[in-house]
Amino acid sequence: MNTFVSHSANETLDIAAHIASQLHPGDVVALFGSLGAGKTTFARGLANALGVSSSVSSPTYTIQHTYKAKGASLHHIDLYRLMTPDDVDMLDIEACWESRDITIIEWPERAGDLLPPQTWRIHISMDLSPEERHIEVIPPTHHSKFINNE
Amino acid sequence: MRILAIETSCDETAASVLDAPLQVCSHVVSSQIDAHGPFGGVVPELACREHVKALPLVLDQALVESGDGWSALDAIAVTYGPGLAGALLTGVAAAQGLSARLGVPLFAVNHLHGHVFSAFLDSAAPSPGSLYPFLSLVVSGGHTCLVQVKGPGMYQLLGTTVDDAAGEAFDKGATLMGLGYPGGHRIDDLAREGDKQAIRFPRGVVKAGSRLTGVLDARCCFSFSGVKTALRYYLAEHPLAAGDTTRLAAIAASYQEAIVDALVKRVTYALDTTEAKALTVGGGVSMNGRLRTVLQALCAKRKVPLLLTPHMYCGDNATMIAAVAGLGAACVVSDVAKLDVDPSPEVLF
Repeated sequence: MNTFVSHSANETLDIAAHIASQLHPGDVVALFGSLGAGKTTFARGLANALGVSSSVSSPTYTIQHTYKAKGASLHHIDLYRLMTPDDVDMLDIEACWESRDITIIEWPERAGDLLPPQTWRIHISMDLSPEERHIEVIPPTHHSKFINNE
Repeated sequence: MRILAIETSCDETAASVLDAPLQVCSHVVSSQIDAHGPFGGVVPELACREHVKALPLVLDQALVESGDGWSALDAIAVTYGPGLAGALLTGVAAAQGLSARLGVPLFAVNHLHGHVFSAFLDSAAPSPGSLYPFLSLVVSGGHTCLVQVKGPGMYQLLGTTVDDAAGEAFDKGATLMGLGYPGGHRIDDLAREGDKQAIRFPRGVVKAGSRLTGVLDARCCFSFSGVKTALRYYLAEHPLAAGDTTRLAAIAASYQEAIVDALVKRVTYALDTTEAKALTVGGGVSMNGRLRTVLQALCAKRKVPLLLTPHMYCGDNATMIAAVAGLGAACVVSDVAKLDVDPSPEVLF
C-alpha cells in the first residue's frame, strides 16, 4: 500500500498519470471515495495519461463512457446510480476487463465481489483541507513491482 | 409523413408517433405511465435493463394513443447515441426490425439533437426555418452543452461540461443536503422560499487555455464538480440543524443560483460572440424555474426570442427524436441492417 498526498486537482492528475504508467492490459482501477472527493478528476488523469485526448466528463447518468486510448479502449464506469451487485450484474461489465482494455470504476463498492484479481484499489479521502486529498493505492496482489517514486 | 420514434438511450423507454413536421399524435414514456397500469411496479428508477421488457408495451401504447395501425407508419426514427450501449441496442434493434418488416425508411437520430429541437414542440413556437442560425442550451442529467445550430443537421459545438453535467450537480447537491436522490427538482422547490445570496458558491469558471476544453472556447465551457465539493465543505463546517427549513432553503437557493448563474453567463457570452436569431433550451434541467426566469430576463433585454421546451418534452422522450426527423434534420439510414449504436460521449455534434 502506498499513500500520496495531493494538494490540488493538478497534483491529483499527476498522481493518476503515475499509476497509469504501471497498468497492464486488462487491469481495473476501482476508485473509492465520497461525493466530491475527486474520483472523476483522478479518472481524467488516468485517461489523459493513457492517450485519451477528448474531455473526460462524469458518466454518472449514462453509467459508462468508452474512449479510444493508446492501443485499446478505456472504459469509464460509474456505478453511483446502481444499488446492488444484481443491478451491476445486468450491465455485463466483466466484458470490459476480459479484454486488453483498461477499466476505471467509480463507486466500485456497488459491484460487490464482481471485481477481478487484477483490480487496483484507490481510496481518495477528503478529511484534510478543501484542496488536499489522501490517495491510498493498493495494487493487485500479483503486482509485485509497484514503484512509489513520488 | 407519420413517424414512429423510439428512444432508449438511458433510463427511459419511450415511443411516440408524430406527423411531420411537428404534429404530435402520441407520446409515451415508461416512467410516466400510471403506476397501476400495465407497468405497475416493474419499471424501476433505473430502467436500463428493463427496456427489453418495456419496449413492446410502450410501442403498443404509442400506436393506441395515435389511433394508428402499423401500416399507417411512413418512417421509423431511433436514437443511436450517445447513451448506454446496451440500452441503445434495444431501441436500435427494434427500429431495424420495424423498418425492415414495414418497408419504411429508418432515421438515425442523435439524442442531443432531440433536446436541441424539443423547444419547437411548443405549439406557439415559430418554425425553425426562419430562425437559423440559433443558439441552443442542452441541460440534463447527463449532458450540458451550448451549440450553434446553423441549419437542419448543421451544428457547431461551442461548449460542454469538463466534468459533471448541470443535472448531476443538482441531484448530487440534493443528496448532500439530505433531500434524497435524484432530488434536483426539490432544490428548485425549496429555493423559491430561500435567500439566494446567503452563501456565495463558486461559479465553476474554466480557465482559458485549460487542457480540459480541447479546441473549445473555455468561456463557453462548464465545470460543476467544484460547486458540489464546495457545498460538501460548507455543510461540514455549518451543519444543518434538523428542521431548520429557512437555512435549508437558503442553502438550496444559493446552490441553485451558482449553477444557474454559471449556465446563464456562458449563454450570455455565446449570444455576444456568435450570430443567434433565437435561443432554444432543452433537457431535464430546463424545467428549473429559476433558470427559466433568468433566461427570460436575459432574452427580453437582448430582444432575442427565447424558446423554452414544454415541461413534458424536457426529460428524455421519443417525441423529440421524431421531431428531428420530422424537421428534416436527421439522416435516413442507407443500410438498415448495418446501423450501429454509438454510445461514445465524444460524438456530440
